[in-house]
Amino acid sequence: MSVWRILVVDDDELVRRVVRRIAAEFGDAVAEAEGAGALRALERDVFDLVISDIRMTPPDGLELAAWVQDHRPDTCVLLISGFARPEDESAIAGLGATLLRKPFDAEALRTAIGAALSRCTPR
Amino acid sequence: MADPSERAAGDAAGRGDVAADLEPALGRINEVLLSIAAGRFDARAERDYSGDPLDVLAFLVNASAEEVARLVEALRHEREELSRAQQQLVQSAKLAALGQLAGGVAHELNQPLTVIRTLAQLIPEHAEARVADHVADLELIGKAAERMGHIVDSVRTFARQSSFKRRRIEPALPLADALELLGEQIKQHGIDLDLTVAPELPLLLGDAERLEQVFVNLLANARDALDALPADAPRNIRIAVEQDGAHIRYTVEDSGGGILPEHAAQIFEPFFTTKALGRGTGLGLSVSQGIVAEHGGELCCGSAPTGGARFTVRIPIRSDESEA
Repeated sequence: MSVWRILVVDDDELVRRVVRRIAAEFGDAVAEAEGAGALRALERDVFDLVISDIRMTPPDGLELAAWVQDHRPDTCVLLISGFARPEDESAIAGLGATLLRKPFDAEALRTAIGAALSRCTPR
Repeated sequence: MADPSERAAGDAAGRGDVAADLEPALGRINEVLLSIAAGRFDARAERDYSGDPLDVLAFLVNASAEEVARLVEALRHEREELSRAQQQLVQSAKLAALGQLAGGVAHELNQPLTVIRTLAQLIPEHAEARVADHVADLELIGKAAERMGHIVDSVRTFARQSSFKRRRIEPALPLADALELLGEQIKQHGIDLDLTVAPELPLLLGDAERLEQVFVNLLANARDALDALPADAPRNIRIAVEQDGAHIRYTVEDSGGGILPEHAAQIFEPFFTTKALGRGTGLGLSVSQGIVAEHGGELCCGSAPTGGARFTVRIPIRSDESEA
């Protein structure tokens, strides 16, 4: 069985810990508290999936997704937000990412991660 | 027939006697008038009910005193009514602001709620594990619940109706309280917030809850102005708290579209709003100005270097005054 590499990005410590915990059921999950740290991790390592909050001190989730689209086309992006504007939704679709709305529960998060990973090819 | 010159001399002497008789009585009336002037409206001139001019004068003085007392009482009553109405206006504006905060508050509750829901689902999945194995999860649940309690508390404090009460407070306190309510929402709206608090500010004599209301209004206005910008425009709010002589100066600037010159004269008027129907009551700034005036301070609007709106709140420090 392949081991997925997952990067979790959320500046909210509680949410970050919970998402990482569920993501760890799918493979190796590492977490970053902010976009800048996430970018460094993405430049350094290869991930199958990035799960990120949208609203963060720049670079935010959308900017991360755009970077991934340009530099890591094989990496999938799952964005999480409790407040996504209609223009965000079209941006998310344009970036090839998927959206999970807060509040979610363990099942919704697992389903979203599973769906995102099903579109990835394990390395 | 008496000598006319004699009679004239007698009259003169009589008038002199009358004046001398009047003097003490006039002195007493004068004292009564002075008492009334000093605000003691129950002072009354003594009367002998003889109907002579002195008695009539005493009657008129007493009647005037009664009328003044009645008017002063009516005025005091009107002032109380006005103060009650003002308090109600402050409260109505606050509840209106709170109604508009509801969406943001709901979102803020969603964060910890997500944590609790997720973990609560995980724990039964590992029912065979010992409680000790769940300690980390239970701690997270506790923290999330604590945060929810904190959010609910800040809403409750904000909604509470209270009379104007000043005490010594950290100048940044009301701002921090306002950010408790609005900070997460500002972030969720994609707005960068830059807060600078000068070090070692003196304590301020102020009503923290009322001042919080001012900052909630200013921040909500900034958020709304930034929401109206095109999606890719930069969204910033800059807040500074610093000492300005005998005042604490708060500056709240946004990178929104600014205040149109034709609106500048009206923005503090009650019920003036440029927001869409149902979005603004037009009470926020007028009530804020009232609150700042209660503190003996001033609330001004102008332009930020970005062309956005800049609001300045100046509150006197009043180190010499006692708490009220």
